[in-house]
Amino acid sequence: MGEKTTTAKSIQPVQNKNFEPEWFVDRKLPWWSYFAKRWLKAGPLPKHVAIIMDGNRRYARTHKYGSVIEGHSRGFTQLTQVLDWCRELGAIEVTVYAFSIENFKRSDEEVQGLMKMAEKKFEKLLQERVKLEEKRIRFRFFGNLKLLPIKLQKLMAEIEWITKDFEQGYINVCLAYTAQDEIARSMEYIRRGVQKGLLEEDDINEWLVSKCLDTRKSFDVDLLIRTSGENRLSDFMLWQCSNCYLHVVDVLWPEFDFSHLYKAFLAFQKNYRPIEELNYVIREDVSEKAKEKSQDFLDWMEKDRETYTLSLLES
Amino acid sequence: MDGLGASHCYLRGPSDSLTVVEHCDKKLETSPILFVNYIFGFLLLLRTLLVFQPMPKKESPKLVIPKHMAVVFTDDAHVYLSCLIDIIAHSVFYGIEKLTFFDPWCILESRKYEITAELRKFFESRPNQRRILFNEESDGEATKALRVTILGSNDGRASLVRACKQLCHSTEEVSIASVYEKLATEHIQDPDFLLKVGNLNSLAGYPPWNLRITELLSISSFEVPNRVQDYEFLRFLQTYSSRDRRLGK
Repeated sequence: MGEKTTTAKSIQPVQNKNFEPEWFVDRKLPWWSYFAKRWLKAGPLPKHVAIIMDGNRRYARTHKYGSVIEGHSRGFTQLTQVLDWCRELGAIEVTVYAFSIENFKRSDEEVQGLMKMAEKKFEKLLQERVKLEEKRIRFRFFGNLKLLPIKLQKLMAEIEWITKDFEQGYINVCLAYTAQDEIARSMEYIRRGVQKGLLEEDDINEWLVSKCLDTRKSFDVDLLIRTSGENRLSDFMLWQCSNCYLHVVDVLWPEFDFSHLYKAFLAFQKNYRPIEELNYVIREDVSEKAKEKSQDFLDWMEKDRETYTLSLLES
Repeated sequence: MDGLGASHCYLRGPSDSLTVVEHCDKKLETSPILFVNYIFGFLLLLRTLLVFQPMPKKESPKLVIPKHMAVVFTDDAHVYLSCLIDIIAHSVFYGIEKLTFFDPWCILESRKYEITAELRKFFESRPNQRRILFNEESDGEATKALRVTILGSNDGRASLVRACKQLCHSTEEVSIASVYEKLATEHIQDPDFLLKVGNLNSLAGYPPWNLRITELLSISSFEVPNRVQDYEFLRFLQTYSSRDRRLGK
């Protein structure tokens, strides 16, 4: 990225005693977690965990909250907790499904409420920048972000910019996202690359399509967790999860606790070897030469993506 | 009876009205009036029990038949021709319009024509109400046929790569609809319901694009490894029927 000329609208970090963090809160783990972690770390760990956080609205209804937005707010608190737990258990990268393009069909009240909540949470994240820098966690946002309000896009661009060099953990938030939209956008880049003469039809392979997705810089997804007992993917990371371990938990998202996450990791370990063997059978082998041939196209694509992000930061 | 220590039990009577039966913990008194009251109470209880009808059972949800069902074998030990025959027969019976079979090792796909010949031979010798089309056969008749498609790992992500290769020459922007169109030419469509057979909890490379809102059900194996019983198949459909498909709303 080029030099950023940030505006005065950037949120400044806050460090005073009275500041209550929301993203990085020190919470205690259960007493048995020390032994549990030691046991788990003796086997393979999922590097990249994807989570469909389902059940906030049902939680709000069963607990008689005033509105479903309060359920989503409870869901956010739960998210920050689960992100901590994933780091504790050794997952470097976590991707969460926060808002689908299909969710725009919900009531205006709920959609506007969610957008406002996202704005407040991202402003808070910028205020907690010191902790972000200390933990060196990189934030990325996946989805058709142009469908979101401009203010939200600017906040997300700012967060991505300030964390772009962090490498000790990765948190990816999917907003205005569907997997089919992501794959179609990836194919559109490839089509434009062919039209520009940067690619030929024979250069197109699974590796290239993966390198054009929003998740192009991510680890492969190892474990997909879905809460609330629903057994479907709901248009989430269809390409990336085509052969990962699927774990469905029959609890609502705000009720998902450390023991549920731990069981998911244990189940991943039990299925690790057969899934790896299957991956070996079904994955396409692409030569290094073929990958090098596509490098000019990939550089052009990165620059094109960054142009829009820079325009948000500079506006 | 003054209701001291009384508890109530609600039973549904024949006219669907509620009948209240009181039980009293009070010790039996020797007074004749109380004795008559107890006899009366006993007769009332007897009358209620004689005309008692149990609460009507909650009706099981209406059976919803998926238009397109996929069966994915994640354990190569479970891939039997007899299972395919049973599933096709049940699908014909229940009115399923499309069936897709998939295994990641291409056991089925590599023997597609041999399997299709066997299946065709089996079903042609039996009177069917519906025609069964296999793989790329075209449907020239007016009656609704059951289309059976056999896919392998070459149809997983690779199907999207093939679609991309076709779309890359177009002057029009790639859209979700255009990808669907390309996949449909290979008979790869969204299943409403996917039954995964085997202990591996993974989709094993099934065509990913088409699993957007597919309801998934995992079983480790069929009750009889090489057969799919009718009550078992009905149970799968009942599970599908009970799912709440919200479609993002």
